[in-house]
Amino acid sequence: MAEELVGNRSFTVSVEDDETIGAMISLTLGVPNYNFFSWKQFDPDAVQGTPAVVFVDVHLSGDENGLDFIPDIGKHWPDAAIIVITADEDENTLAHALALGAHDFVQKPIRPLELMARVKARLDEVNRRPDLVLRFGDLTFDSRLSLLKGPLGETYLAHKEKELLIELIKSQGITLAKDVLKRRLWGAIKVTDNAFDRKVFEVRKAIKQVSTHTSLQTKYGIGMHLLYAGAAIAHKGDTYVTS
Amino acid sequence: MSLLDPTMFESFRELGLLDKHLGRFQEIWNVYLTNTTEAIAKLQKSNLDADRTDCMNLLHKIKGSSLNLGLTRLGHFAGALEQHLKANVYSLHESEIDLLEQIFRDSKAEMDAKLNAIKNGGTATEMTAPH
Repeated sequence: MAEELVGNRSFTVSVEDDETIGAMISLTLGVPNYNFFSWKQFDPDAVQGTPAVVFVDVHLSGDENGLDFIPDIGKHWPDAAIIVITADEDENTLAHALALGAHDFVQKPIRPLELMARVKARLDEVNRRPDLVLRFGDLTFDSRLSLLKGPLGETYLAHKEKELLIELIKSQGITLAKDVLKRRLWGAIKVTDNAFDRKVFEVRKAIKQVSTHTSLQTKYGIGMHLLYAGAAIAHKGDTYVTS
Repeated sequence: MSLLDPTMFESFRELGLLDKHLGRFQEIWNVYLTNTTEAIAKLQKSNLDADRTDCMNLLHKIKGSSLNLGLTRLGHFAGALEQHLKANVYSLHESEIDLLEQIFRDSKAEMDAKLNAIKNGGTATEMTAPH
């Protein structure tokens, strides 16, 4: 079987109205597959981490067209391979899917050996992309897996929390205003302070789970930044002090 | 003539889906049977209601899941009926749905026989269809 195929990103996601197809994908690849029956039901925050592959059926129930959702899937999981499932042999459909951001397609009926070959090819390509692992202090964040690691352990972040942490790591300790972060995370969509604070709370909690030396600091009325106290600790020799 | 696609069955076998994962395959098969039985019942109702779009969607679904599990004859027949409706035919003839249901029953019998033979110690490729 193909447990080794998807590496440590050990699950896939499908948007497919036929549950037997989602189940066959799981059985063929040997990893769990989280199936959403429609786009209405699709909720990336219900899935922890980044899937290795997202399969999207073109013809969904209720006249939904899976192609319409490819750009959003790409935004939710930029490091996942998107593979379109279709019974349609129309070249225009496939060209349209690829233009929208899909990486590949499989035709129905899904032939298990072909599925495995296509998944392997796409993952090889995705895994060659640079800058997937970000670092700050004693934290390491793998954006493909949405996995945060530190001296105390590791934890997965949901989608928006992942985006927030990436922004904070990229700023490398420089304070970012709340409004700036909101704009980077949600664009033009208006988000309440309460909703934003919940995401901050989750990121702070995740950092606490994996490190005692790195923290998310809030400067009231200004913004927030990451702080690593490891350097100070090193200067104190055997005495462990955290700020 | 077999109602199932031998090449599909062979690839299931090559991947071990019909030996060490036979239990899981059987679960998927049971889900397929439940869903397809429901879809055919809905198809009969939607056809009586002259809901052409719903009929096309149901046939599309039956086609996809059937071909995916190697039930070639059923998948192709459902696909042909779908195309028939797409060509602006108002509704299906009752006998067409009866035939679809008959192919479903025969395909089910053939697949069940194969799965039972595997459970009893045979292999997927050794068996002949009970047709």
